[in-house]
Amino acid sequence: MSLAPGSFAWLLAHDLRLSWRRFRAVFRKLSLLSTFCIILTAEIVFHLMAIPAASWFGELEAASDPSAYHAALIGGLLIVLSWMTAQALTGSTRALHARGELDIVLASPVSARNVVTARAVTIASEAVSSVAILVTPVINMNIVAGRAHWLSAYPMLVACGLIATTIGLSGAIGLFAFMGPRRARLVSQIAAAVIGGGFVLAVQIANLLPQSVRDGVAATLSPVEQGDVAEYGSLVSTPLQAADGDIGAILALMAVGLGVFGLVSSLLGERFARTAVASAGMSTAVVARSSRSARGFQAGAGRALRRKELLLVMRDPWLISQIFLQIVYVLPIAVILLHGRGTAGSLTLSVGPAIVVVASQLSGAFAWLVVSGEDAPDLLASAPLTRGRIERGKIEAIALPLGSVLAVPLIWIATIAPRAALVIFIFTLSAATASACLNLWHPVPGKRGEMMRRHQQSKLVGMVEHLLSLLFAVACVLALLGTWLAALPIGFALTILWLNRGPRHKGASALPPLVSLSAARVASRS
Amino acid sequence: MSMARPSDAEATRASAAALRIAGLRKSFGRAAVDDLDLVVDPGELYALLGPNGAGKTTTLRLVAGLLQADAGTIEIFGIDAIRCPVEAKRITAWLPDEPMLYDKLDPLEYLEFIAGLWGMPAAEAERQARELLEVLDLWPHRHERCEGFSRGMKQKVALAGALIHSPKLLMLDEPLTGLDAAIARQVKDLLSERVKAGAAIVLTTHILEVAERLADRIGIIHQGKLIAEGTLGELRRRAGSASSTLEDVFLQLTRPFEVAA
Repeated sequence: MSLAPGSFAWLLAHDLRLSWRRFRAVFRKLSLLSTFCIILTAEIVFHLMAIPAASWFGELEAASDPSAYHAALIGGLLIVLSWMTAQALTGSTRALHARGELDIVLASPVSARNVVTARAVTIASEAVSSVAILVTPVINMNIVAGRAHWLSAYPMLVACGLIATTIGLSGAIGLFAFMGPRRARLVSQIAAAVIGGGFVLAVQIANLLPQSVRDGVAATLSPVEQGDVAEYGSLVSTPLQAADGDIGAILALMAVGLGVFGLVSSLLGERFARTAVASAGMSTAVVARSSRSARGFQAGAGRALRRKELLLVMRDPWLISQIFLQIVYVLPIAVILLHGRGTAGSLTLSVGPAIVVVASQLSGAFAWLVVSGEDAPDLLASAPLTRGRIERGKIEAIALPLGSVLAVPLIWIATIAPRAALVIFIFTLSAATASACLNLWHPVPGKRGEMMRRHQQSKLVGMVEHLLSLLFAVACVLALLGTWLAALPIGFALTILWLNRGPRHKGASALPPLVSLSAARVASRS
Repeated sequence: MSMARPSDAEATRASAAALRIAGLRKSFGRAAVDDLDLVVDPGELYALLGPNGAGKTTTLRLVAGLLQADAGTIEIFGIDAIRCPVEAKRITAWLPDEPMLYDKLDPLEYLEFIAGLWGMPAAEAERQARELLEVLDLWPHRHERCEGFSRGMKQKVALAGALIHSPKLLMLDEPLTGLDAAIARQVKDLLSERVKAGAAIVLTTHILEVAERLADRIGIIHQGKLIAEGTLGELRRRAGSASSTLEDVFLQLTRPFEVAA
């Protein structure tokens, strides 16, 4: 059956097809069968991993006091909702800024409302399915364990998706209206990353809260009369009743989801369309002025290279947010280690390796930025400087921001345990140098904005980078414990580094990285 | 036609040549530049014409030190560019068709960066930057980041970057592509001025009218070889018609090769 061109169903089919292709693009050139097998295997693994989570929910549910169970359910729901909102915000922002595509559809004589509703449904389906991959295993394992009322989690997931898309869509349009297209895009990207990554941190922060605060939270969730969830108020009680399998509550949640979704997509439809068209026109019209004092020119190649790299990073808030997130994602490791041991001596043992890992990751990121993310490699290659001079300038440019980020925790440790600080400093420096060398020797050209995804282009460099950071972190722990076994990971790391040393050592005819990089770019362009 | 070798007159000129290429070869699987000889004098604007993929850009990239030649020699004002690349680069500028800019820098910062790379004294760099930005009508935009600029403006910033260190040899790859008439006129005037001041310019172009109006000499390159060279008048005579346009000459000279290929 073919759909009537221009109809809502036809537009939806078009959007879903594009969405499917974006998903397939993640698996690159793999066949449909291979993709299916990978997803199936992953789902089986996720289901196995979900067994402990499901039995934890079962134990909480079986307990005489339901407050912990209710807290876990509401917490889980909030995580799912924030996660979906992050996805929806990203999807809405992408839809607003994907100029060519939406321009064509909106220039055609089809209803703008249909276009936007179809797009919104696609965003909702993407948000639901991306979260469902990880959440449904927990639901399914609960059902398998005989708790059939967990089936209600499915319609709840859909309702969450609709509500999250409503928030994401309005958020994207709101940001656009208040901040203009460029800032809105940046802020929504950062917001999505923070919301998405936030729940990982939230769980850890919850663990770190004093027992009295945690008791207080549990107390507010404790019903006055045990078992009577209505005491919580409808905002909390309805989802809890729905999770219990109450058909009325499930229907109410679905009605709320559909209601707000329908209302927002019909009310904001016109607005969204106009905003999307506006974003296409305004993207080049915005003039960013450099905040610059009236200082004169300063000479010197090294200074020029350092200043240029610093300005480029400082003026790219998206990049800064990515670098910041890279630090944030490592923090939970330190928190877990610290929380698990809790003694004064273990402070350096938990923070030390985290600093080493952060140093390695940041150094890798900065080195990739200055070498592979270089916007004008030809310009540098045609300058009257030796390759060594250019590389030295670039390494100096990395060292300053890296040093200032790492100095704070290192100085803090030095005030508590000077000897440990020295050990950590040595391993931090080694890990950072190793990471920088690796990226200097194996440039992988890419756009600066794709820094976080740089390892997709060269998985080998990514793997080696992670392995090196891990080895130096382990060596740091062993050295802090005062055992000579630290020499093992150090030796291993140095061997790996030696095996991956730069092409310059392999023969006199090898081109310097910057020149081969510019040649690679030309080849990829043609 | 023995265009590939310089004549005796050219050979005597060669000692003072701005650019002297001899027997240059570069292959990417197939020969992109094939035994190329070329001499450009100081104060000369030389236009390199050729169909797509003829080897024009590869030749310029070899001279700019961005590619390593398989064989041959390149001399820039007497400096062996293969042996002493840094010395050669000091007096050379390269402007590719895609402007080499940093979106997050403004034109003044960009020029300060380039001046730094070429080791210019700060005061001199600042004076030159101001002069170039004023001539190219970029002075009012000097504190705006390049990311918001049109293609033409970006091309002008890149050109200012190529000129700030007063190179003696300028290599421009399609410098007028995508520029509107007014900007193209500014660029042409600026280039003519540099040539009058004694600099040598080698440019590649698809716009035959540019070569016809600007160039002192024109070289036609095809499949990595120089198949014809001379002033427009000389090329016309070669094509057998004094009234033919450069387009006629170009098509007539490249056709036999295409048929043979």
